[in-house]
Amino acid sequence: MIVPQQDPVPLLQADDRTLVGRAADGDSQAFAVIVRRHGPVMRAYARKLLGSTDEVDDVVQDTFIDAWKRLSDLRDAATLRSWLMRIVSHKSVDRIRARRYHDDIDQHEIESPTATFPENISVRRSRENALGQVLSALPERQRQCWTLKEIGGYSYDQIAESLALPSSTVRGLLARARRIVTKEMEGWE
Amino acid sequence: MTPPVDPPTAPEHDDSRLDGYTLDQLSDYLDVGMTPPNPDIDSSAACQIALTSLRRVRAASALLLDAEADDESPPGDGWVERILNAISLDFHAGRSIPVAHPSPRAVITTTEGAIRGLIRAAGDTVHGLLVGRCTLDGDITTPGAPIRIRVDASVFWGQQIPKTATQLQEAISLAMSNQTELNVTAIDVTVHDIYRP
Amino acid sequence: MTTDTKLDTHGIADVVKTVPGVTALYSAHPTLVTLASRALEKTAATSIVDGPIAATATAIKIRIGIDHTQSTGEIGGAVYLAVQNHLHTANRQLDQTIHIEIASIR
Repeated sequence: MIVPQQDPVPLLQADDRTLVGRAADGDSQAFAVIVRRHGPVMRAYARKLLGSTDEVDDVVQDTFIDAWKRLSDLRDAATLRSWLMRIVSHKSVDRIRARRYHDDIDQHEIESPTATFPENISVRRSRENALGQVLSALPERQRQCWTLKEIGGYSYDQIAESLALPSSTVRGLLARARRIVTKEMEGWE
Repeated sequence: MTPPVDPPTAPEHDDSRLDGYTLDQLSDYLDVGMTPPNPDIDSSAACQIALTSLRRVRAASALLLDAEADDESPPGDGWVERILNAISLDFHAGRSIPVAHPSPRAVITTTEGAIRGLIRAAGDTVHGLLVGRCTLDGDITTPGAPIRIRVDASVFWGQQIPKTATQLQEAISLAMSNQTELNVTAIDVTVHDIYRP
Repeated sequence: MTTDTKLDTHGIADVVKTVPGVTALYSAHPTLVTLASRALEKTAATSIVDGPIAATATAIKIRIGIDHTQSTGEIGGAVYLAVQNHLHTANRQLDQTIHIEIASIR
């Protein structure tokens, strides 16, 4: 029995500040625009941390459900995206820690001592896409540390705490990831 | 003077050095904006090459997620709907506003959230404008108490702000007097321009 | 719970839905009602939450969404009247308080 109350096009074009204001006031249509606008980048980020699993869908879904409840806490709507990404970070590392129980970090490193890259990495026009490919070929632990540091903005200690790893292990993983990434990206101006 | 960095990586990890510095340390140096300046790093060709690489990667990282978002496969059917269903009963209701009725056995109320919806609906009648956040200042739980409405709105590029804001005030005033019993003494409208390409 | 206090809440829901201007009928589950109504829950001797209408021995709680072209007073009154008439027709004791909460206006 929901009657569409207006031409939806203006809402699609609304800025985050307007959408956040409406959604905080209870407008779920405005929130749906937020979900569609920011969902893809949040999923891309969660995918880097979790790999391509169903957990990506769940984590981002849970993030939005949480965000709806806490929208009034968001003082500055201009920070909406980074606010949402922080929630994704927290929920993703919770999932990673939950997996940890069966995960032997040393085994991981032994299995992938050096990242191998297919000879025929397709030449992508965009430097960003190349970086994406390089990252997806990294061993999972290295990618997680790298993502939390370089994209999530976490400190070394925050990464160690989030992944329940010793600080020295995080340093080592990051060192390897950086070496591989900078080497593979050398060809890109 | 060396940059403030953490101790070097553990021995079992590869710590090949560029003129004495690990990639880790150079990355930390970049993190602190290369201040205070480290003359050893700044004068080392090998370090400079590595720093250029690190900078390049950092620039790419900043754009990476947006690029990947474009390629991101859409979530399974109903993913957005599931989110909307999960939030659908959390109305952000706010305070409870009494609605008069002669019978002592009728207790009719409306929620603050519902009134904000009414204000948004009034805004929808004004061309080229979208109402954002609404606030009802005053004791809305007491019938007849003076209420001040504050509205944040955005107008689409090209709209005349003063005229549009006045139209909004009139639309809200009409809706509130026709459809509620609130004693609205003022309607403050703040407009910010938006331009969406 | 005795048959005296049992109410046909589905019948009430059907009647509420037919009132012009009512666009939605929400669950009046206790955890979602406003504070004023919550206080009443504690005094109820028996409690029935059956479908969208919550009913206790002393109160019936209805939570609706309405069309933005009508006044809250008018629709609230119309819903009250419709529920009263329904209870009267069904030959029920008319001593419950009827709580109507307008939760959304679109």
